[in-house]
Amino acid sequence: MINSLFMINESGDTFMEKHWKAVLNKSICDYFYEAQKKCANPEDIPPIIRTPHHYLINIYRNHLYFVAVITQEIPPLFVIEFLHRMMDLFEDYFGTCTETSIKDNYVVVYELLDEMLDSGLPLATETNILKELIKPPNLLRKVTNLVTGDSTNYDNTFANKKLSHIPWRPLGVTYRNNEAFFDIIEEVDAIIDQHGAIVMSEIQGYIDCCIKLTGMPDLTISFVNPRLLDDVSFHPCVRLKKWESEHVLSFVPPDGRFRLISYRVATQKFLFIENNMGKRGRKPMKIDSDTQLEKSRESARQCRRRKKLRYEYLEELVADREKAIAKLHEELQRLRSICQHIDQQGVTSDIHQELKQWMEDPEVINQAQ
Amino acid sequence: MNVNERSLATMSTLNAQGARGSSNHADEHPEPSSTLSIFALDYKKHEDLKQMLDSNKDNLKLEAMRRIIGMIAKGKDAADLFPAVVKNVVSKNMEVKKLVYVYLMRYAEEQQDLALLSIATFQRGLKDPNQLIRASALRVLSSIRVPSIVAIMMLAIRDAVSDMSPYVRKTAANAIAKLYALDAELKDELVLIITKLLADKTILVNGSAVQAFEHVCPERIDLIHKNYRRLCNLLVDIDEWGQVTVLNMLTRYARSQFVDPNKAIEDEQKSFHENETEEKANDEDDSLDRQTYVMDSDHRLLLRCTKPLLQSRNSAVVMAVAQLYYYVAPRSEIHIVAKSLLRLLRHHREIQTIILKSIAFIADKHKQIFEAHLKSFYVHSNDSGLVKCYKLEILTTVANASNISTILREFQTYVLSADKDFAAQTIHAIGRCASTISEVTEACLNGLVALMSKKDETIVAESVVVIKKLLQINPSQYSEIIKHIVRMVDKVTVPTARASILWLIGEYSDRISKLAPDVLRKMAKSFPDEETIVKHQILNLAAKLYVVNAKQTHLLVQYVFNLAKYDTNYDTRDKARLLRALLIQTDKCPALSKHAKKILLAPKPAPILESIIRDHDQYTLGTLSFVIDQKATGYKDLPEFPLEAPDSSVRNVEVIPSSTSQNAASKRSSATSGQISGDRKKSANDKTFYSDEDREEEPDEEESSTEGPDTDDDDDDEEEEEEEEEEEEEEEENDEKVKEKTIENENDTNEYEQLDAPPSLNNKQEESAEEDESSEEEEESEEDESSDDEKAMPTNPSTVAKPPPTTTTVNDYTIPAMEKSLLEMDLESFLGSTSTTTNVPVAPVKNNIFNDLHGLESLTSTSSTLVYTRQYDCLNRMIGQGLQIQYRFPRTTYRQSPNMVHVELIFTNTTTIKDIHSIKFLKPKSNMNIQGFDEIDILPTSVSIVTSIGIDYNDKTQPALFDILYDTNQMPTTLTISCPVGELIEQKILNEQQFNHNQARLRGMNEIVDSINVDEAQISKLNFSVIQTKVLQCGNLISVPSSSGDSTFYRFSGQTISNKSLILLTVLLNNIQSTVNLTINSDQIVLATMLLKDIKQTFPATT
Repeated sequence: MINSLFMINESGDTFMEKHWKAVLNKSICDYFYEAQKKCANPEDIPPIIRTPHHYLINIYRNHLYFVAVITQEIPPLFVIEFLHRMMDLFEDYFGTCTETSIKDNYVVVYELLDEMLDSGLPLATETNILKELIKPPNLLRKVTNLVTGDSTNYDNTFANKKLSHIPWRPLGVTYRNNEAFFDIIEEVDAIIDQHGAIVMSEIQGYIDCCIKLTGMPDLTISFVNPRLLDDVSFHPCVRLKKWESEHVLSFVPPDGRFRLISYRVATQKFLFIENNMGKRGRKPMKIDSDTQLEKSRESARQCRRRKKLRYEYLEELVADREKAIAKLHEELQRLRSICQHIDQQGVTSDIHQELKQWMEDPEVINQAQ
Repeated sequence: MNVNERSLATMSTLNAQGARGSSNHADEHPEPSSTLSIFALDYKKHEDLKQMLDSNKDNLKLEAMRRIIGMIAKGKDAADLFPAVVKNVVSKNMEVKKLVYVYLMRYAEEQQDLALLSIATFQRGLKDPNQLIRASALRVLSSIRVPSIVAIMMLAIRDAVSDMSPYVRKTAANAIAKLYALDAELKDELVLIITKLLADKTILVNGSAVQAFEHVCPERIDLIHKNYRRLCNLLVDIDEWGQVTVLNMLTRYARSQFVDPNKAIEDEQKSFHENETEEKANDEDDSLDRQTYVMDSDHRLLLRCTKPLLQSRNSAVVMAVAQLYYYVAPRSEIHIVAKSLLRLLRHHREIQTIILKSIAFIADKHKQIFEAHLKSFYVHSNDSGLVKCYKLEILTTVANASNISTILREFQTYVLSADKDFAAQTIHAIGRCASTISEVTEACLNGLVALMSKKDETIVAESVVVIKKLLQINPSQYSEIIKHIVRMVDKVTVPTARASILWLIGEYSDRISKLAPDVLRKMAKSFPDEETIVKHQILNLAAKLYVVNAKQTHLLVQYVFNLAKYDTNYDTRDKARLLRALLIQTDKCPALSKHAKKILLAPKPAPILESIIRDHDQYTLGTLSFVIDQKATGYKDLPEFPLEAPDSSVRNVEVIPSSTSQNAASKRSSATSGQISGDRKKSANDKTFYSDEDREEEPDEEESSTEGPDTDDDDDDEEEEEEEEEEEEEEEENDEKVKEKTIENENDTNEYEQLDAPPSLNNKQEESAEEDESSEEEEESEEDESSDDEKAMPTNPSTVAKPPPTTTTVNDYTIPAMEKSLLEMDLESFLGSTSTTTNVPVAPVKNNIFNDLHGLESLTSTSSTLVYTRQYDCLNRMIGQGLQIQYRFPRTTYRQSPNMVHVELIFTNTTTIKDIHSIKFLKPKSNMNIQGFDEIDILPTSVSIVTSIGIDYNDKTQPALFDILYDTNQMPTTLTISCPVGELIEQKILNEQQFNHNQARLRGMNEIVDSINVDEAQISKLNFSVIQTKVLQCGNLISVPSSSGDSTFYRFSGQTISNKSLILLTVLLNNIQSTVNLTINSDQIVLATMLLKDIKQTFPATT
């Protein structure tokens, strides 16, 4: 399969090489340089270069070329995908994947390459497994190594460890705080012609996760409208059957960061981009379909109307009560004045009359009854 | 990374930095003057490294190894350190060890003798208890490429293949390819090992095993047959890289084993009825297919199992699936790959390029599937050159009359692109569209002509070339355009374009007879300055004009020919000479000159505008050869579909569910020891025997069962599952996770299949047919069995003499495994612990022959039912003066009269001294109809005799009374045989529909319902077999196969023996309220109530 790997920087130096089978001379890269010279743009270099006996499959990323030498028929995407995975892994290990970061950590890189490929066949490519086997460099370890004088990338206790049988998740993960973060990233791609009309538009979305959960968690995510995601690719941890049957994402997540799904929505109806973009920078997913928005607006309007009615009713009620209170207050005042009158002058005929009147008052009679 | 960290790092590796610094220095200045010092430095440095390696401190060793690895990484030679490094292979430090391994793998090939020193360490490593160490030892051992250790490698691989750890087995699978590369003569042995690995159950191993298979023996397709279905089912769970390999292999397999689905469809359209003879395929779900062509179920399985992989994040996997669909799927299904391929267009540039190339290839054959996604192929401004080129190609391929206008509008913008090459390609593409779609030819031509007035030369040139080609197709229509072009000849400077214009003028000079000579005049003037290609066309033009219009152009032509005569290019000179001879010096070859006009102005076929990208039909989609358009080493073409499908039964895997204690035990022993001997493997190869224990563990059993789904399909699975789980416990814990997943997956697929296969009548028939078969087989074995018994009986009566146990009798014979049919085994497994038949020894009494036979028959007819023979006493041995009579219900139909309950009476002489003579049936005492037994002449001491009687209980539970006479007693003895309600029922096989139908009929007062509260813990334990056991304890009912696979809903059916009225029992588990709801529908409401009560009692009720 993959016979050798050369890492080449932009100026054309082969700064690292690794052979899984018979050793090949660096001169094989000359064919690559030749192709490179022909192309003004590094992106234009054909991904596969023929040489008399070998085939060079190269990728260009982060200003680096990874050139894999193969001798036999093999699906080319297999190699390309693998090289990219390698690059991803280095990024994960060292933060960035540049010439310096690789050179600084050449031992780790070499150990990684050795674990990833067994005589050119992929062996362990999952970050989590590799991190269990080979510890990524970090500041803390550098310090401790310096102090203790011990400096090993290998976990010496690993001899006692069991290999996890879910390839993407190590055993015995523990966190004090169990958290899971999900980032939904969406990119909108559109071609707009000179008149401002949208020729093509599509959304490319990703759900990136950062999962810090103890043990072997089994997560399920369900979507309100899974039909939107009609063209999806999944991390291997997602149970495809479950998705097919129920449209539910069910998975045992890897530890740490990973990309759960990526999807593409190519339908135009979900998108209306104003000609003068930037004036209203709305997220495409929030826009959703027009009708739905209108529906929710309508219902909000109705709700408001009902509220208004209710307020009116309540106000009326309050007004009534207030009127009644005022009336009672008046009554009270009158009675008080009568009482005062009695206190001062005794019961006069006025009051007699008043009382008589009061007694005859149908309301009072009613109340008495 | 911050500064502090940096500085720390620097400090920590100060030594290494120094060394590296110097070596860098050496790299950059390879002047001769400094060579000496470098050598000195190197020498010194290596000395220094050697010292470090020899030291006792791990730290120093590690540092040294790191520096050595650094050297290797930079491609510098570190071979002279070999002896010093090899010593450290025994180091305890894990990292030192690993780094030494890395070093060894790099240099062992060069220093083979020294490398042999390290072999012992690896051999020790192979026996390490830690799986990781075993694996890495095997890896290094197989990677050092020293031919002299081939034998050791072989041994190591053979051991590792039966290792407990799947990780080690995976490494072993990888090592096979390496060993094969080292010594191809070992192929035969390796094939055996691969066979074993292919049958491995862990998904971790499968991918690598197939990889090894592809490397070593891709032609041995027969090794795949047995594993085919399992591989299909497990495909989703194999790791990404393994998936690619397996998919590629399966594509090849499918091409060689199945018939072409598309061809078949075409054939079907011609002759519709032929498909009756087509091979069987039971679980077809695709209605379209069913109408026209019946696809092999395995073929369908493959397509179904690979479909979810289209959603893989790995582009190689998606591509592999696309490839599989392209080559194997029916035409109507290819469209599903389109979307996934388009999604990959968002991946990295390299992937994009290859995917686009593949899409272009697919679109060539299946235009329609990409038509809807036209917009995905619109070129983005940041696309790389290759990507643009392929997108253009796809757009052109997909273009048709309906979408051409949008495409052309898009092309118009491309033409204005800053990338001139791309613009030129676009013009070419426009030309292609114009030539294929006649509706737009005119519009395209006009557009192209308009383009000619552009400033940019390349665009103009390209459009002229394309116009030329288009005009050639239909020249008469467009003479205006020709004139327009001719006028442009002065403006156009690009040689190809000029040449094209000149050619046009020459070819169609009759249309522009006035202009043409003038053009020639101008050209003659500039002749010396033109490019060769233009000069040729000038010569052509001259010659053609001379033929048509010799008068006007005679001198000009002469002049041009003369100029050409002294041209530096010999082609031009030759051409001029040839034309001169043909036209002017006619005397030289008069024969030809006569036909000069015909020669020069012969009608020329119009060129077909072809894709710039070459036709790449010759290589398989998605392969390396396909991408580079060249045959790569090791490339093999996909085989063509066979015309006749090869035997599909080779993929059947017979399975014996291992509930019989024997098998289970032996299997377990094999599983725990982890040693599956090679010769057994061999026997697995020959397809006829299923007695091989290896087989029974294979998950393929579902597959075989789907082909003839039998009544107990569901419980089968459950059983299997249980077994599997049992096995897991037996196996190392490590496997558990993976396995569980596997099982889960299997179940999934199984459910899936059940959904697919509608419970049609066909299935039912088949099923019953199979049952018959099985019962026949059983009969055979039983017959053998009982005849054996009969033979054995007289010789050894004492062994039989013991009175049978009171509750159940267990038969202690074993049928030879070979004779057990699949179904029988299933049956036994679902019976659980109790045996199917009781086989009570029969004394050789001559009168009993008929009864014996009868008993035999009745035994055979029980084959599909479960028999719970509980024995009841009806005559105590004290009362009977030594004669004990027990009775039991064999739950079979009574032969003489189907309305009678079959009761077996067991007469046992418990005395040890005297024989009992002449036991006679006298008469029934109650007014029941009882069919008595024949007289028993003699009952010897300590012997039991079984006779059958039939009693018509008339569906009532009143006991039957009858008198018997024995032993010259004049007083008849009255026997009372009371029948439990459950025995008044016989099984009635109904299917689900019939059941539902009858249940609907028996509603209202014919329905009794009851529910039982059960512990939550209990209810979870209630699976089908538990419930069935409970039900069968109470009554002779048979379960109704359910198509839904619902695990909370069970149906049982039966009918009363006398009146044949139906009894339908429904058991519904309510997990939420933890109750069991029982419903019985029957006319016989009294019986039903009693039965319900009985059943209810079997459930452990809680208060």
